[in-house]
Formats: sequence, C-alpha cells, structure tokens
Amino acid sequence: MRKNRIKIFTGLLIFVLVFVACTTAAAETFGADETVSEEPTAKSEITIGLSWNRKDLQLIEAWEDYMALHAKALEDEKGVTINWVINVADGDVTRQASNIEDLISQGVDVIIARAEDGAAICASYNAAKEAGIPFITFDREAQGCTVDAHVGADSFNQAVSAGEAFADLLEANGVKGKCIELLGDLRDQNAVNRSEGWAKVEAERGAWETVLQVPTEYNPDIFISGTKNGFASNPDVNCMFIVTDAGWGLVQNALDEIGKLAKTGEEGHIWIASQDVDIPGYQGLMEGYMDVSTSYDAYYHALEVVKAAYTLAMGESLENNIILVPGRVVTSENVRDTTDLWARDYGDYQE
Amino acid sequence: MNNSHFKLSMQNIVKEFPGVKALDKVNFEIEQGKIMALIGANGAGKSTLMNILGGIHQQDTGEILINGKIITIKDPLDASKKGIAFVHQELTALSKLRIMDNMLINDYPTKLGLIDDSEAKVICKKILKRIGSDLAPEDLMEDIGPGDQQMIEIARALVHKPKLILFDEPTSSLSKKEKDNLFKVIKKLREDGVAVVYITHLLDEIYGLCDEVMVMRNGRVVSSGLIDEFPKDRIICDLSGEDGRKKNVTKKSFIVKDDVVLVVEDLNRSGILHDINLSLNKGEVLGIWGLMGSGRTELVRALVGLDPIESGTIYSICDGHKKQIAPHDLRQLVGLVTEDRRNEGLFQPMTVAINLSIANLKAFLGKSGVFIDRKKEKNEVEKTIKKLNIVVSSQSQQVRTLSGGNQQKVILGRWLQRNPELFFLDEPIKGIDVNAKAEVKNIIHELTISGKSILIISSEIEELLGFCDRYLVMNRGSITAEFPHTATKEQLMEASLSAREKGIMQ
Amino acid sequence: MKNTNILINRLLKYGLYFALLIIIVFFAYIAPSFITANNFIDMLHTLAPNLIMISGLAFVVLTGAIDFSVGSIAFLAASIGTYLMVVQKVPLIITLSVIVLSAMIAGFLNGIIVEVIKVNPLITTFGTMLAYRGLGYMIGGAKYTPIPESLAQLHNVKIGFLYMDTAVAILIVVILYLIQYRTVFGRHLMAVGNDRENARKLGVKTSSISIRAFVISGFFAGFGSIFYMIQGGYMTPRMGQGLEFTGIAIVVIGGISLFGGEGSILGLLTGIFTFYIVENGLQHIGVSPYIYPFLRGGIIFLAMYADSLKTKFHSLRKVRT
Repeated sequence: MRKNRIKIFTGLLIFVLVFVACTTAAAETFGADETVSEEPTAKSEITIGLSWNRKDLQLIEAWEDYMALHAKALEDEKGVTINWVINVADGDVTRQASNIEDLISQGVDVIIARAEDGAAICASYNAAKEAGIPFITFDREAQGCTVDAHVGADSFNQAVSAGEAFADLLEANGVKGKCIELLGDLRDQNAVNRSEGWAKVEAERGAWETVLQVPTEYNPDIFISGTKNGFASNPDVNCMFIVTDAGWGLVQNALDEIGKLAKTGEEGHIWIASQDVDIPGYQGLMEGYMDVSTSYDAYYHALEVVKAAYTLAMGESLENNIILVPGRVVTSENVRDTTDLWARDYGDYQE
Repeated sequence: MNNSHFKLSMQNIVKEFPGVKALDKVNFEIEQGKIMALIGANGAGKSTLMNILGGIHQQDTGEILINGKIITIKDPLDASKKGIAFVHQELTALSKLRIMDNMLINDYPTKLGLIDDSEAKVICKKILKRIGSDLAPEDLMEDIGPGDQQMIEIARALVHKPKLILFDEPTSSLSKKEKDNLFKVIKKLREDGVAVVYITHLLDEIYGLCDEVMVMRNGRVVSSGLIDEFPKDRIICDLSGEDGRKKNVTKKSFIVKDDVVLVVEDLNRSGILHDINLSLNKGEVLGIWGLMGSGRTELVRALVGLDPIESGTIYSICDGHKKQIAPHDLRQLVGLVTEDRRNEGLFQPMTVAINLSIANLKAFLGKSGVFIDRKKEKNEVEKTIKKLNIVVSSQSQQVRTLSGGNQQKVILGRWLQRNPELFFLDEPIKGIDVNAKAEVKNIIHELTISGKSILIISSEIEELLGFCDRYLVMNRGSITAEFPHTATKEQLMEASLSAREKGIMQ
Repeated sequence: MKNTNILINRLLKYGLYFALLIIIVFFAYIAPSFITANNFIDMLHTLAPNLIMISGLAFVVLTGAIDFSVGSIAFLAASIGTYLMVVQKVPLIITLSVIVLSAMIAGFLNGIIVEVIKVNPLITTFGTMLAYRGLGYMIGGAKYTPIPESLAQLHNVKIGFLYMDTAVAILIVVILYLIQYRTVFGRHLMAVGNDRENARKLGVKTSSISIRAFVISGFFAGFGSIFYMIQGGYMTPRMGQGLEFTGIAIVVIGGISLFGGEGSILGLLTGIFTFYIVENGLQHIGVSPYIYPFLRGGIIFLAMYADSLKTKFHSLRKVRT
C-alpha cells in the first residue's frame, strides 16, 4: 500500500515536471521568434500593423476608411509617412494569432488589433512584447493581461449621456416616463455597462421609471416579442430604452403591429432612447421615430487609435493608456447637423 | 396438388473465411414437402451454408440450383424473391413498432402513397391464423413475450409465400406449448408443400418432426439420409467423430458432506418469490429446474442483489464462521454467469483478451503497481484459452464473432481468473453445440473437484440429469421439491408442474 | 406490477399537460394581459418560424441521430438569400428557391458525412454548426440587413385570426405527422430509430433513410428562415443562434426521445408551446432578466430528465422468464 502511494506520487511529480518543461519550451519557441531592432531615433516613416478579426460589417469598413483618413491628415501634419499592413481573420481566433505573427515578423512599428477573443489576444500581445512592438487593442479589451493601450467606446458613459439627454427631453415635454428596457446579452460587458448607465441616470434624475426589463440576447425574436408583450402587460408604457439601435427595425415592426408607431410630435408617440446610431438607428432618428441615441463613433474611435498608434510607433509614451471615446448624443433634432456619422456614410438611407 | 415442383440443390459449395475453410465442397439437396434436420457443431459449417441460401454470404465456388436452373442469391431481399425465407435464432424485432410493422416492414400495402392499414391487418391476420396464433396485429412487439415474438418471426417469413424456410434453433425461447404449436405449424407447412430445413442441437426434437437428416462436421457433410436410418447414437457419433457416449459426463460426487457454504432462509419477493429456503454444500452442483416463468432466474438475481427482496436472510459460511451477508456483497463473492450472454455478460465489440481479463485486472498489475503488465495479462489469457479450449484465431479477435459456445467459455474463463468459491450459472449450456456443452460441463466438474460450489439453472433437463448432486424444482416462485442425484426426468417434470409441497421426495 | 407500469407511463405522458396548465394559470393570475386572445395569437406568431425551422430536426431525432446545425443552416441559407435579394437584386422567386435548395444541400452534406464517412452525428453536426455559420458570415450575414419590401410586407398577413406563418407552421406539422405514421418512409424512419441494426437486417435501407432525414432537416431550417426574416423585416447576425439547443429541448419536451424511434411529430406543438409560453409569460410579469436563462435551462433539464426516465423505465419492463 505504501509502495503504491510512493509510486503514484513519483509518477505525478515526473508528469508535472515534464509538463512544465514542455510548456516553457513551447513558450520560448513561440516567443523568441524574431530579433527586433529598436530604433530610438526619430523616424521619418512608420508602419502600422492592423489586425481585424473580421471585415464583413459596414462598421468595420467605416473604421478602416476613417483610420486611413486620419492617418493621411497626420502625415500632412507631422511629415511622417505612414504605411499600413492590414490583415483579416474571418472570425477565426487561430487565424488572427497567426496574422499577428505575420505582422511581428514583418517588423511593423506598432500593432492595432480588434480581438476575436479577448483572452486569446494576450498570447499575441506577449509575442509582440517579446519583439518590442507596442500593442494596442481596439474596440474589444484584452482579458487577463494589460496591453500598451486600449482605444474603445465608453459604453457606460455612452448610456449615461443618452440618459441625460433623454431626461432633458422628457422634462421639457412634461412627460413622466414609464419605460421598457430591451437589454442585450447578459454576458456582453458592453450591454451590461449600458444598462447600468441607464439605471444611474434613472436613479439620479427620476424622469422615468423602467417597469420592465427584457433580456434579448440579441435575438431578433425577442426584440419583437419583448416589445409587444411589454406593451400588452403594461399598456401605459410611453418610452423605451433599446440596447442597440441596430435592432431598431425590429422594434419598429413590432410597434407598427400594435399600433404604437408614431413620430415625435404626433399623437401617441413613444419616446425612444437607444445607443450606437447604427444604420437602422440613423434611419429611425432621421424619420423622427427615435428620439435620442449616443453614437458609437467610428470616426472618433479611428482618430484616437491612429493618434495613439503614431505616438507609440514613434517611441513616445501616452498620457493615458485607456482611451474611451464617449460618443456624441444624437437626437432627431440635431441628427442632420451631426457630422461624420458612419451610418450616414455607409448606409443606404436617403431622405 | 402443388402447381410447381420445387427442388433446390447446392453443388460443390466452397466458402472460405480468412484462416478457415468453412465449407469444403458441400452438396445439399432438398425438395418440397420435406423437412430436413441439419445437425452440426458450431464451426461445422451449417450456419454458413444456410447463410449462403439466405443471401447473407455468397459462395466462393459452387452452384445453387432451383429446379435445375442455376441462380445467384445476392442479399436477403434477393433470397426472399427466390422463395427462400430464413428464420434466425436471434430475434430481429423492432420493439417499439407493432406486430404488423414487424411483419410487413418492406411489404406494406399502399393506397395513394399512404400505408393501407386495414389491408395490412387483413394480410397479417391471415398469416397469423396459418400458424395458429391469435395475436393482434396492432399490438406492440415489446408487449409480447419472446415465444410470441418468435412466432412473429415465422409469420414474417411467410409473407412472401416462400418455397423453402430455414429455421435456425427455433425452439430456444419457446415454452413446451409453443414448441408443440411450432411443430404443428411446420408440419402444416410441409403439407402445403413448403420445404423446411431445421437446424438444431436438440436431437430429441427432430424425431417425430423431420423426414431427413444431414450431419456436418468441419465444413463437410458427414452423412445424410432418411431419419429412420439415423438413431441418436449414430448422429452423435457422426457429429463428434467418436463414440458420443464417452462425452456424457457422469459426475462423480465431490461434496464434502455437511460442509455448507451458503444458506438462504425465507427469501421473499412479493409476487415473484415465496419463502425460498435452500442450502449449498462445498463441492456440490445444485441444479435448479423448473419451467419458464417458475422464478429460477429471479431467484439467482435476488440472491446477488440485482433484484430487490422484501424479506429473507442469506448466510455465507467461511471456515466454519456463519455470517449474514447482504445480496450486494454476495455478488462480490460469486462467479455469476447470466442467461443473456449477448447483452449482459460480454463486451461484444471488445476482444477476447479484454473480456477475459476484465474481471481480474488487479492481478495483472505490473511492478509499478499502477500500470497493467501486458505480458502477464497476455499469458494468463492464453492459459485460459487453452484450458477451456476456446476456439479463436487470436486473442484480439472480437468476442461478437465467436460462436455461442465459445462466447460462453469466455464468460466462464473470466470468472475462473477471479477464482470465486461460489458459481451461479444461469443457462450456461443453452444454445451451444454438443462438443462445447461437454467441455463446459467438464469445466464445471473440475471446479467442484477444487472445492467450488455450483448453483446451476438449466431448461435442458437432459443436461442436468446425471450431472447434479441435488435438484431443486421450482414452480411459480416457490421451491416445490428437492431430489437427490438419483432423480429421474419424470420425477422432475412432475414436481415442476405441481403445487408447493414440503419435504424431500424419493 | 403491470398496473403501476401503466400509471407511471401515463404520468410521464400527461404530466406535461398538467404542468403546462399550472404554468398558464400562474402567469394569468399575476399578469392578466397574458391570458388574452391577442397575446396567444401573437405568441403563436412569434414561435411559428422557429417551429418550421425545427420540424425537420424532429425527423432526424426520430432516427436516433441528432442535428446541431439547424440554426446554422437557417442562418447560412438566409445569408445567401439576403445576398441575392439585396445585393444582387435577384428576383424573389429565384432567391427563395435558392434559400431552400442551399439548405437542403447543407443537410445532405450532413447526411453524407454521417453515413458515408461514418462520423458520429453529434460530432458531425457540431462541426457543421460552426462551419455553416462561418460560411454565412463570409457571405455577409453578419449585418442587420433589411429585406426587400415585397417580402417584408407579408409580416402582417393573417389567415382568419391566425397569422400566415402560424397557419403554414401548423399545416407543415400536420403533413409531417401524416408522413410519419402513414407512409412507408415514416415507418422506416421509426424502425431505424428503434433498432438500427435489426432494421438493416430486415432489409430497410438505413443509410438512405438517415440521409433523407438530414436533408429534410436542412430543408425546413431554410424554409423557416424565410418566415423568420419576414417577421423581423431584417436579416440579423444572430439568426438561428441557440436554435440547436432550444430546438432539441423542444423536441424532447414534445415527447420525441433522443434515443430514437419514439414520439410523434405532433409533440412538437406541445414542446414549442411550452417553451414559448414560459418565455412569453416571463415577459408579461416582468421578472429580473437574470432569471430567464436559469428558467430556460431548468425546463430543458427537466425535459431531458423525464426523457431518460422514460427509457430507463422501459428497460425495466423487459419480460423475464
């Protein structure tokens, strides 16, 4: 019996040692890929490596175009040539990792990555660090490691600003709001932040009361049924907060079916606050069905990330590593005057 | 009078499987209105021969002729088209479907693309009537007993109005009444002009039923002819190639008198077992006999805790110490061989080696104490295979490809490694060929020599006779009588039909 | 012994209806708006496309296999359709045919991998679930794309008091019921699910049946996706996501055993009704959003458990001598 135990213990010990040895070796092989030249002297030319996790959203097209735009402006301003190396991973985590490997071996000066998987991206970050290349996460944060910089949306304050504007609107019209909230997916940090932002303003301003919360899990079914059922069980509801106005079209359909669709100023108008000014949302604002939405400002995300990339590529450091773009509050009143809305530039809506 | 004469012959059939010549220039002939008994040990080739007729295998060389014309049989459906039906030993039942579905699965009458249920029922009723069954076609297959299910297999074979029907061990799950009914049906088929081949191990059955006999051994036909020329002794002789009488094991008694190893008192299971009292002596072979449904299997299952009991105590006696033991614990001490070897005993897709060693892997641990010593395992398995004379091409042969007798030996072999003091054997020799039967009985005999105690259940009364030291007869969940080893068949039969009585009968 | 068997069997069979009744009463009491005719018609409207999408899945489960890729097939087919309709402006008739056809091909591929390459259905459809969705993303399915007005306008169409898609869904279930019980194909399906080996021995072409079941599953996934898009007016990136699990849960709640060979297509109606009633009721009474997944999971678990009980129970019934 004793003999058995000792044997088992020895066996386990050997197993653990072998395991550790192997993974260390792997990590070293993986990491120590390239020799990297550090150039502390001022450069006249930099190359930015950009890794998209996917490319099939208009939003991403918009980002990329805006980045090029801002880079061009920066070129003119600073007199430094900015080159781009861009690759796309088609939603595949391993593909993205190897894409970033490519960027590293090409010796780019800085890497911007929109992660397919926030945890997996840390491995790429480590590899870049080994190679001495600064690493910026874009729009999606890394989980489990601290990268050199993050540029993204401030989903909490995005909701707060919309809430504040919404409260102003309701008070100006003498309306006490009773709202249905359509939440996103409870596992999505952005969605959770938005809901919390909304709740904060509700508590502080008291301009409305959220009587029903429906978790949609971004399921189109539930955008529709949640709306209909919400109104059925609470007939005196007069406002809604929708987690993203990408789903506005679905809600519009639903409201239409229950006869609650009316523009601002019309009789029976339901006050709608939302987020993103995505393409359907833009249309909703333009047509006057939606009231308030804070933009997911592709234009300004791109601006900030190009600025940050430039700074790091030039070997300087940033004041702030976490750059959160708050978005602009867009209402049905000011939507026509708001510039650089990606939904306008990349959507099909014509007035 | 029949409208067409039917005569089937197989000429010079050769069939080889890897490593074994299953059929070596076999000639076979049968014509309408005749019932032929096909006798042979497993591996003799009779199953292969019939499988060729049934379209499951194709012969390598040789011809099959029907009425003088050469034919080929590509698959079971083709065989059916050519007028040959095969009723297999193992039930091929679709349990959740109805009887009529099981009969007509490939032959549904349709109307406008949909199944015509009423027509289907009519067809089924007609055939069922032909075999004397009053089962309802709408009943579910799983709601009828195995005996009735076998009737349905036969009914299904009749759907295509076959000219030749092959029966493979048809009586294995039948009660006496069902057996008699089956023979009646087969005789009626003969009258209708159908040719019948009847494969069996039970020699007693063929007399009074069959017209002709064919005996095969080692892939060849040993002898064939009219049944009158083949008394039992001759068949046994032809089968085994030696004087069969030698194969009858007359068991010497090795009981150590009054050395009881197991006592059961007042075991009860409501509706199933009533007031069971028995004792088992060291080195004894205790036979439990009774008709189907008498509770024999239930008794064994209750003893080892596979079924619950309501009251009763079990004692095991070791080295003079009598200790109460729970059924679950008893199971650890007993070598248990179940009735349903296919489903409950063996790991079908695994190898012979694994099946043999699995009960006793601890013994094969190597020096490390953690890993199995493959060599040791292999040697032990080899020893067991030799000892029990299990016919395999190699240790790594899959167990499901073995014949029934060999499978049974594997199960026994598994327990032999474990070396328990007690063995409960439920139908250990059912459905296996004569040679294997004798070998298994020998093995059991040797176990008793080394002081093991055996509880054996068998429905084949002839096998029990002369083999057991004592007999317990059961009927309807109670032990109705106890006999010493001198009991006769009549005594046992009578006791199994009578109500509960106490005391030993002479 | 036999009497208790019958009782338990009946309990398992009818217990569901009883539970359903209690649930309805509960919701109706707390939120009176729940128990209106309008709500039920709306609920049927919401569940109709989903019902169509999983009706083929039921056939696959009846054969004892499983299809995790239904949601992805729906998504893929719809992505292809959206691409044709919106980007290429292909006429509607052709687009709709392509949607259905591509879904059938996807199902056929599933069948081939399972039957010819002999990969176990669980692994196969799990893999195709990921692959088909990825393919759909590549064809542009990841955006919220509005569908052409000619199709979108159908979302309000009613036949009598039912919405059009509800009527279509019920019709489909009835037709499939007839196929299951009154055609040779249906019988063979049940045979394969009941005991594949024995069915094969009896001459049933098991591989062919299995492949056909997968094709049917694909077909309805695609067909259903059309109604899904009509209802929302949009093609959405998350279409069909999660359908694999809820679909199977619905099938099981409806009494179709995952072990194959047991259950009726009509059970789909019960299954989906149960599922959506809970969802619907919760929205009416307005519970905390964190309760939803918990309850959904709870129902799925109970259904699966009851299913396994039924099977365990059946094996105890085996006749002994």
